Amino acid sequence: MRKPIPQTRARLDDLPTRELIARGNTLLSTHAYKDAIDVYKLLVKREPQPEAGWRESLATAYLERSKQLAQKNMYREAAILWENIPNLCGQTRQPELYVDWLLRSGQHTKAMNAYARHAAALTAGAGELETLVAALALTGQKDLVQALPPEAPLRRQMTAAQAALRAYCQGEAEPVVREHLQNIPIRSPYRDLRQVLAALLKLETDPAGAAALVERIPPSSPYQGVVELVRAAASSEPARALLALDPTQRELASGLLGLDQRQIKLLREWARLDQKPGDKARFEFITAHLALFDREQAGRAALALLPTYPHGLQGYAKQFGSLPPFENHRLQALRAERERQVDNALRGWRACADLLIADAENPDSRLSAALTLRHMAELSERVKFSSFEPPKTAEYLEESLRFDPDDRDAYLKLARLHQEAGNDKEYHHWVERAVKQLPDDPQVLLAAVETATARKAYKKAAGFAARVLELDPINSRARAFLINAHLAHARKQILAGKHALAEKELDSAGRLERDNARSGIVEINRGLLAFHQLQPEHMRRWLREGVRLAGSPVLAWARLAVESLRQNLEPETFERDLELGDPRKFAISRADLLALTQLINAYREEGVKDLDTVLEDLEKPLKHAIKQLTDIDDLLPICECLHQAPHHELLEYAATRALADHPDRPLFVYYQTYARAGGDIDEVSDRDYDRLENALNRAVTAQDHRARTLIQRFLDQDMHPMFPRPSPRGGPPSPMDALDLMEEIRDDLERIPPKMRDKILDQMLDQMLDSLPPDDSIPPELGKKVIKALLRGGEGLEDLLDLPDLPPPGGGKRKKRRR
Amino acid sequence: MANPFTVLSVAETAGDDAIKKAYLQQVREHPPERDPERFQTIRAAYEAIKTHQDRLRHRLFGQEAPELADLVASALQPGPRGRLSEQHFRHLLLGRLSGQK
Repeated sequence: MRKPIPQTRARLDDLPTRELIARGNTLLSTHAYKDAIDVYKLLVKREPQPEAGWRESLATAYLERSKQLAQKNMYREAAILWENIPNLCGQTRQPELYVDWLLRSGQHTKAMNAYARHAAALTAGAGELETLVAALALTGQKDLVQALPPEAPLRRQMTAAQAALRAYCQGEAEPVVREHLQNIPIRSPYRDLRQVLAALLKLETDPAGAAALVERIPPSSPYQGVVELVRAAASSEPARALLALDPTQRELASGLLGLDQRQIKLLREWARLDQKPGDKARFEFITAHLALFDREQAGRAALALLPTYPHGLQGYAKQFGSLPPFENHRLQALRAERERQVDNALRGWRACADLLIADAENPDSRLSAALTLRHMAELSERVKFSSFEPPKTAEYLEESLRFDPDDRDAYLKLARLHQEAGNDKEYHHWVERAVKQLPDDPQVLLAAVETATARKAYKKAAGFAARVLELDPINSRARAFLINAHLAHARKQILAGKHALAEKELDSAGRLERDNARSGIVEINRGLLAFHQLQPEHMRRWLREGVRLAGSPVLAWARLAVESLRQNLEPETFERDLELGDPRKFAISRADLLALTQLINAYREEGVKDLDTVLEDLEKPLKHAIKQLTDIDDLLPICECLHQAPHHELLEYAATRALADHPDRPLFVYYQTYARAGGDIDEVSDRDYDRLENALNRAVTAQDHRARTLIQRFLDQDMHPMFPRPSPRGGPPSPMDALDLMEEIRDDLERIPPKMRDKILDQMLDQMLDSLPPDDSIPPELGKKVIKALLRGGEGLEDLLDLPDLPPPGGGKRKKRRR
Repeated sequence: MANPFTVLSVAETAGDDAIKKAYLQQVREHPPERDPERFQTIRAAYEAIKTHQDRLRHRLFGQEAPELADLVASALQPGPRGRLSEQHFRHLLLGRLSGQK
């Protein structure tokens, strides 16, 4: 059956010659060579005489189309198309391309023939092709070289090239091979062979030199396969270099390196291991090739795998002997840590620490014992614990200091733990111990500033701060503390009417302020002092200067408001006088907002109360500024500040803003629900309660410790009502509320170690009785005894009161809690 | 994390000075502006074993997987160098001639 004529072709046949010519020209100029071929073929058919010129155009179309195909790596198709050219116009066009395509498509014999046939027509730029053909000749196509003219370098120098290659491969001595290489001219088509053989020889005595030699061989050279072997064999890390090669190359490079069969097998098996092999595979690899490895190094590597591959323990013992007890415990602890079994990990580390302590004569063992105990302290902090059973973090840290008394962080952490637990005596004790041990450590001294301030030992605190500044003159915390100390004194003197002394204190504070970091606080206080001294001109001048230094209207307003209140003055008087404007209409920029956050934080740390009232007046512009924020790094400190201040309405607003962009961030869920409930867990709606619990789970999974601690603490208000809260119905707690709480307390009591139970119960009862409405009919002591008996399930109650039997603990119907 | 001793190319018995020297050498070879990722690795390795106490801590609690490459490298001590056969040489040439892009 006859093939149907394609539609385009059929249409072309119908076109008059004039139009075909125009179309052919257009197609050539637009590089549409495939279609141009069809047009010119038709024109050649209509007007076959050579003078018409269609053959030339068709040859051009064929050549350009071939190039297009070659660009797509379709070398075979390109070569076939090119073969039409000589028949069309009796002359070849760019035959070097044709030979190249033949070579690239693996048609080596045909390539050699074509090279011989077109040798005379090859252009000057065919040097690279000559190298390719020379390499091809060396692979065994030597007979075809005979077809070249006798004077062609490719033919003339082939014998020398073959001799050099043979001499190298047959293991001739280096000088003999070099002599052969001398016979290959430097511009020969065999020059890459000359270079690569020289590199292979160099590899035997000077691997680095060999690598340098192959750098001169162009990337397109056919000798690059050999070059890769030289590079791998010359590498300073041959194992990695060999692994990057394909299996055949790897075997050949191993031969160049002189590796024996066992080493080659090792390499092969290592290559078989995946990029990220499992611990079992790694362990078995080590033990299978132990004879080749450095035994100590192999032992360490195998040991390092045991925490993740415990099944290897037996194999390890077989190959390297039983583990010493210390390593056994260490492995158990590490494994338990990986499996998040903190209790087991702590047991393992305890055993390690005990063994190290037993060898405490050895300084390394002492230090290792201390490090182990500190590691245990870190681990113990991660244990989920009930508030009645504190973790042993402090105990571990304390013990660690017996073996390494110079660890600053251990002292400070111990102090912080006691501070957080409200154990002020111990907090101060550990800071004092730290100061005694490390008297010139600025961080320790700063902690001492804090403890001394907390104990109202301001003079002592100032001494510590001054010492910090001696040691570290740019320490901003110490400087700020000293400035604040002088300002506090100044305020006291102003309120006491001792204006001259106040002025001296303000001078001292002013001297401490750095010129480039003046906040205006000293000037504002000078202005307030002038107000007390009834010097309105001075007052205005100083306050204006303070406002200018504060940087922005909102910061100036906030500073003036807080400082006035601290001196029992009404800020509005000064604000009006200074024409600061209506705070509700302030335009607060992002920078102002962040600076205000820092200011509020600083005041809170100083112990300034009622910051929420200051924020109250700024609510509207603050909301507007918060609304513009998008960066989570801005929203976080703002929420934190509003949480601490505290200002629930603004906090809820900021958290809601943050949740719009980060809906799953546990911390923002906490801030929002906390603020919405006014910080009272009883005011949290059921929906928010669920969101909080989900956020807690996410925080635990994401190891977001901050969010986890805050949410846990908030939810724990619901768990441990040791500190009675106001009644959910408003007003003081009612007896019914107290009975509900008693049920919960009874549950909690059962979790307390019996020894501690009485003491804690007494504390709880004192707090509970204080919170109950006064009942004159029952003396407090009797009430306490009755409640104590009730909490113990009614034991001994009959002796106190004439009451019916009470249900046993846990036996009665318990109010269902949300947790 | 990679083994810090391997990253810095120092022996596990190296002291503070040797480790610092190796660290500075590595930083010279991989400055942060040219190779920031590698620099981070080098920095982390240095921090992990900088002092005697750090090294003790690393030995007690370090849990990085061993570098098999180091182990293999130590096993590949070269013997007398071999040479390529003509057949292999030709094979490599042919492979390149046919497979060239």
